[in-house]
Amino acid sequence: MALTQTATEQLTTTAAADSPVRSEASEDAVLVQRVQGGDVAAFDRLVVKYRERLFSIIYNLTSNREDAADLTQDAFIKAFSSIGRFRGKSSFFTWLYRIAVNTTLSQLKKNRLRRFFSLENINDEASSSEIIEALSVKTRTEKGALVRELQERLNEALQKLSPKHRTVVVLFEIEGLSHQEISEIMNCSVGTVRSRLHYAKQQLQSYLQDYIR
Amino acid sequence: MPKKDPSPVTLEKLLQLKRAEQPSPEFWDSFDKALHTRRLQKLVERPSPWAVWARSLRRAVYVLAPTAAAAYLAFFVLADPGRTGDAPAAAAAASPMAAELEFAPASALEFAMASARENVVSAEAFSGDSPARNRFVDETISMSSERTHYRKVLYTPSIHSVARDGAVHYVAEPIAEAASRVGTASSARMRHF
Repeated sequence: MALTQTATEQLTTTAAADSPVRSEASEDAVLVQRVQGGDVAAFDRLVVKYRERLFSIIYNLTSNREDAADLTQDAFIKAFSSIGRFRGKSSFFTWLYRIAVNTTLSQLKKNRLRRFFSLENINDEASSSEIIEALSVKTRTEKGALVRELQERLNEALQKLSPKHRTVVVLFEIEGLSHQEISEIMNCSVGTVRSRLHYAKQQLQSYLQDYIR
Repeated sequence: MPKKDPSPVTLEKLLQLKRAEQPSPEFWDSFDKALHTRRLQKLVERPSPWAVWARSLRRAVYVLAPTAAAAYLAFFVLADPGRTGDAPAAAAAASPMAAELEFAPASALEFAMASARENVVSAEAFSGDSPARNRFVDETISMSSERTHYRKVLYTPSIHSVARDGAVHYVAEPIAEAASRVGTASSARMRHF
């Protein structure tokens, strides 16, 4: 009896570890079907679910809060307009991220975005993080000022990269996507993703060498 | 006791700070309102005439291009009794520009002219047709050794001659296949001009 219970617990644990991605995908699929069936409210749920992540990607690509808000809305409007043609060959989030990235890269290419940076607030948890503590000790700078300075330097460094290199860094290092997911979003090979990431990180290392040790 | 070194600062750790940059809840309120408004606009907006026209044109190109190709094949290749069962001629007819290029060698052209010259008929022989109605003229070939100018006609491997006095003569008989390598010409097909 005890063995059976343990086995059941193990199965449950394994399933739980595996299920978030699958359940998320199936939940998305259900919502997409509802939107395709005319349920506009279902799209609102998709918006609420993905707006932070989409905004974060676009904000880190543009380094501008207003542009990021506009482009995130553009991406959702485009997704809403073409969701009828979404056939589920890829996951919904890959499809949505692709729309967002393409919309942003297209705007960056047209060079129509605002050039100044408008910084978002870094939450308290990050402000008191290990890395801020370490840098604060090293540079003998007050934490608040250091956080502000780091934000600016990180944005500047990211903006020095080409849009495609920046996209790979943002998706991998900041958003935590896999190489495979990035290759699907950017419509290129995994090798290209790795190569771009390697080059971009080399560039960033040199731009931010004052902080890295 | 020496002070414990803080953990090393790496690029990855610096970039993770970007994860913590998030807008306030108020931002999302205004974001949702703006998005809702834009989505409603999208639902009710009618496409501009330009957008409708562009979409129609795009569809027309997709539909008309194969139709035009099929019509061309049907009209100029399949409907030509002189070409049936003749693979090289059919290939030449299916690719008129290639046929024109093959027609270029002077020796083959001269041979064709020589064999055709005996069989020219006056333009008046084709009732209702006139050189002015010929919409498929490709180029004019002048041959210094001849007193007439031969004009090559696109899409059909026929030729007509322009005499010095301005009279126009069409080739009435088929040109030898081996000489011209562009198929045959017949008076029946010339009526299409």
